[in-house]
Amino acid sequence: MVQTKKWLKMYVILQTSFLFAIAILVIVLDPYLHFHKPLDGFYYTLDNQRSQNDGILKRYEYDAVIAGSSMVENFKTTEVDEVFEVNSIKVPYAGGSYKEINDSIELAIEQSSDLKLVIRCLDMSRFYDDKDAMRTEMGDYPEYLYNNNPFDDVEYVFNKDVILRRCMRMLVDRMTGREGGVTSFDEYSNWMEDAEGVFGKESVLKEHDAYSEPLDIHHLSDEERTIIEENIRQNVTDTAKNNPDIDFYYYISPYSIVWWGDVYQEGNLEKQLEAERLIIELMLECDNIKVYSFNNFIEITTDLDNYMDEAHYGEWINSEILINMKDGIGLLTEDNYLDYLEEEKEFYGTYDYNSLF
Amino acid sequence: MQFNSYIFVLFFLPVTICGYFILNRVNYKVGDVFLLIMSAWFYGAGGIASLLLLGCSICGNYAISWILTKIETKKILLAIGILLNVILLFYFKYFNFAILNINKYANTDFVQKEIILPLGISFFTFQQIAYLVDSYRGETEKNTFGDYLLYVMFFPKLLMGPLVSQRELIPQFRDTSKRKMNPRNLISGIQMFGAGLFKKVLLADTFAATVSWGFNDISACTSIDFFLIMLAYTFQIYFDFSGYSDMAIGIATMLNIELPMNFDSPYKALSIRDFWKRWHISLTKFLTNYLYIPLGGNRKGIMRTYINVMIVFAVSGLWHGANWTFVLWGLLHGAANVGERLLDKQYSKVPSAVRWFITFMIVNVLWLLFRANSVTEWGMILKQMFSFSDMKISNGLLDTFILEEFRVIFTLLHVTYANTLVNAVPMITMFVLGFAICLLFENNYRREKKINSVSAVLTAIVMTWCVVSLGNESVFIYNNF
Repeated sequence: MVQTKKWLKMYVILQTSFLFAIAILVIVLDPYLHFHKPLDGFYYTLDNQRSQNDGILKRYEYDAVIAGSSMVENFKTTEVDEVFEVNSIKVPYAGGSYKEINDSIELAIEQSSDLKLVIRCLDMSRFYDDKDAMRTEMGDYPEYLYNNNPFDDVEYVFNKDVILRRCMRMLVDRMTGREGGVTSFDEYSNWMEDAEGVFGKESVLKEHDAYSEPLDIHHLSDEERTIIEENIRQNVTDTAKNNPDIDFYYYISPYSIVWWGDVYQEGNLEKQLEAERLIIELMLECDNIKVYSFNNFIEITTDLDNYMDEAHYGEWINSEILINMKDGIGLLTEDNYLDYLEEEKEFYGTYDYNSLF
Repeated sequence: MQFNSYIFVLFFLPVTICGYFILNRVNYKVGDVFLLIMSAWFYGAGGIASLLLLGCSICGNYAISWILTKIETKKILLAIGILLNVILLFYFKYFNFAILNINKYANTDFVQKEIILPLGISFFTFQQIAYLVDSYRGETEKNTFGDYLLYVMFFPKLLMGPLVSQRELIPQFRDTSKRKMNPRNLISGIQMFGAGLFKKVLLADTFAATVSWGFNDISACTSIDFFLIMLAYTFQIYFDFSGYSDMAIGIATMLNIELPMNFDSPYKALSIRDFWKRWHISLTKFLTNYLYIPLGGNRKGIMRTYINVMIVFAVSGLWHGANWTFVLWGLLHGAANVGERLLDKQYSKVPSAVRWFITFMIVNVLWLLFRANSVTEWGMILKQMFSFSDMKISNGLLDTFILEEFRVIFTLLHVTYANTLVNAVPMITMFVLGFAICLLFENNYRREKKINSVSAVLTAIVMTWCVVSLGNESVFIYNNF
């Protein structure tokens, strides 16, 4: 054969073989659970929410889901299962917008015909999200994992990080005798180990100056009202209304007293309460949303040992929240929500924030 | 569409090569149309609006060039044609820059517009200005509209060059012997493309991470950090741009079209004038033929030569971008060029190693200006760099070099990262590789493309390595909220 034709034949065969071999490797091992359930005999490390949550939602069997931002990362599904007698999964999106989190709930509903319980935290800091906001400034979403287009899966299949960081790791683990399995949901995204020694006043009040009285008092504008209403309807209540057989246990994020101090100082306390009222009223329209708030559980919010920063509480608070929700403690109803808001106003409007230092 | 993308490498390129040669067997015109459709898709993937703009620019320019071949009094029409192209380029590329400066220096309050820059506008504008001048000179009478379309839109060179004259390119499309697949060209083209993709994806993008790290927080960088960042950018811009040119030339070669060399080992240059004979050669040629020579070149006395040189470099600087950094970069290169002409006798006596070092340092320092967001920022960086106040290399900088490949090697060798020296190995490796490729080896254009089993295996490995490097794990940076 002519040398050039021989070269071309050799090149084409080698090139297709290499790519084919790599594709088989990734498709078979599938560290993102994009194509199939976890294989026996291999250990799957779950540590990338935006890349793996989609696979978790599609491949697992479950009848309950824990959804939300970093606020829910420390929930233990073993506890949820025991308290609520369910079989749950956890799919947190750190920093996630209401849309991103609700999309995951919608996917869970689509994928699990048995779904009967959704536990979700509603971040107070994201009340004013545009209804379609996604956190594109934080990273690039691997859209190729979310859609049904098999062709753009090349970005997953021919991906150096996936191959070297994940597939190779899985092969080495197997060769060195590591038992097959998947990161437990108790451990998945749990950040308690990283936060060791960080809980307490020193961390929470870091870079905080003394509090001062607000210069102006702000109220919710009509525009803000519309933004909140659109966000909550699209990303909270519509899903509940469309799925009357599912129970949605939704709790408002119990941020620390330091966060409230900032809100108060900025003159936004009234606005915050008005926003909360609007959101609670919208949710109370749905019989199957159980609205919870622990903002008036001041033994939690004023104890800075519960927090590693102004918002993030330790896993023992997650456990407490579960028990409370099961027992109906902290439940907001038509009858009590106005009193709840009044109590919030009274406490956070008169608290001596400088006594925290 | 980008060359370094999955869709291009795995789909567009193989389909275009196969489709072109198969359809040419049917009919050469069909082959032309296919190439034009693929070129339109390639460009249009970046946005339909840009494609429409390109279409309008092509039609307008062709109309003017056609009239230029028909009428006697041409100068005014040529001037109008060039002016219209410049106005279009000005609007998309320089309008907001002009507004910014008018507001700053005239204390006005004009509002900037949201203008999306069409990809490749600097290149296709210059291509078409060159064609207008060639029409004025009576060189394009035999060209059809189809020829013109191919000349402007030929996708390998559409976005980033090399700039090529119609007299070099159009005859190649008319040459029917080139319409049959040529195995040698295919092999040479594949190897060239692979080498270019390697330079872009594995070298340029790695150095780019270092440079981004530095410019993300200038106040945190030490003197040594800046020196390394400057060097990293020097390599980034070379591997990025020359890698792109290699890919463009490689693709064109697969299609039996020869595009001109664009980079000839520029970092081997011993003088700034030598540098510009090796860097972005097609731009130097364009500016020489269409600006320097019409201004008089070196035929109107020494002073006028120096002025012409400065004008050319000022235009070159401005063409590169809408920021005073680019203008100053151009002017300083111009000044270095003039300086060398003045000190030619003395400079030629300096040992070549010293001449290389001086040239390389000037190029490095000026690349830093090219990259900086402002002239002030460049000044700040230079001040910090040459203060030699902090001679520690930041860990953050070292980390930018730790590619997944290095992690795997370290894991296999049971090496941990506790040691700073170990951390520095990837950085040292990349810089050594950079210098070796730039200084020790023949460049991709000149290098003989071997046809043997080793090169087939190597090409397949390199291409595979590059393809998997096109994607990485999606990482979300979350700071508490």
